[in-house]
Amino acid sequence: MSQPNLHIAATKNTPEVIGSVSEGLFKITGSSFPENSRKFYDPLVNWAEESRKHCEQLVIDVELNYVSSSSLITFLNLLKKFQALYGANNITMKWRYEEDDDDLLKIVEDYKRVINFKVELILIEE
Amino acid sequence: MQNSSIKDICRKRFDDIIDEDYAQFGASVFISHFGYFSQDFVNSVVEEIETRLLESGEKKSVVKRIFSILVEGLQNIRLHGESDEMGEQTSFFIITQSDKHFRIYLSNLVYNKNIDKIKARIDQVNSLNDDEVKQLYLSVLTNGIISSKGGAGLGYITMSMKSKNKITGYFNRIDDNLSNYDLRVIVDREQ
Repeated sequence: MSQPNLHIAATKNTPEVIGSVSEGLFKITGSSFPENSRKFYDPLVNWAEESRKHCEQLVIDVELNYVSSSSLITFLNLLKKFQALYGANNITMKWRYEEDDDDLLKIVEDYKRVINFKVELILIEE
Repeated sequence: MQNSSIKDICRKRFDDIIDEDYAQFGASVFISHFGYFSQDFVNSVVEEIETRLLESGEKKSVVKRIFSILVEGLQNIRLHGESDEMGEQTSFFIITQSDKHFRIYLSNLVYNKNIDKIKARIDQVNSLNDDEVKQLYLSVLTNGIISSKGGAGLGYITMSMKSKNKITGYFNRIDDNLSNYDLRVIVDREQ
């Protein structure tokens, strides 16, 4: 069973994840390149379903560093799941990036082809 | 040949590539590793390489591209590399550094019967222009299909996009069954 609140600590190749239904927040921070990306992201899909029972609106707060190709797909699948569960109008995504990090800006541009919720780009101050 | 183990043959290939690279490009070895790569090893070595490259003053964008190519390449090796007669997934990687380029060699054992399939995948990526590669990438990304092993089929596409050069595959026949395969990816240094 998924817990309404979630905290997964970061490892060398997986990000920290915080899910809080009381705050309506899903936060993911760090690098993501596990060898089997489904093993990491599938439980987060379960949390997405569980969270919807407790909240109407969600803020997705993303501060990623390096993301491998398979993580890019599984993370996008998770975002699509959130969108299907909550509806695009009920989600805001904060996408944090460092000044010289074009890769992360490209990633979110690519994601916007499939996700329709509001995306705020937030420059991380050094 | 009969007296050499598969590992010995791969080791010779490893040494030959370093010699050839030096003879052709005058490059020095930045880092190399021969043997089996555990997942922990992959996680640690990419971090070590990232740190060393940043400390030596490489541009962050170049470092990130190399990091990406290594993660995709080393995970490919672990997912798809075949084993030698001792049951060991004998593999290697080499990064060499010259004034203008980093050259990354990623090697594992492959079955001879799979060589044409691998060549076709490399040729497919190389035959496309930048826009076409991006379109292919986007279609795989948005389709969202991931294999049970967690792979996505984006490895070569990602490596090609990060390299901004053609990727090349070399095959060295070991016996009727196996060949040593090395994938070569070049990253231009930026001033």
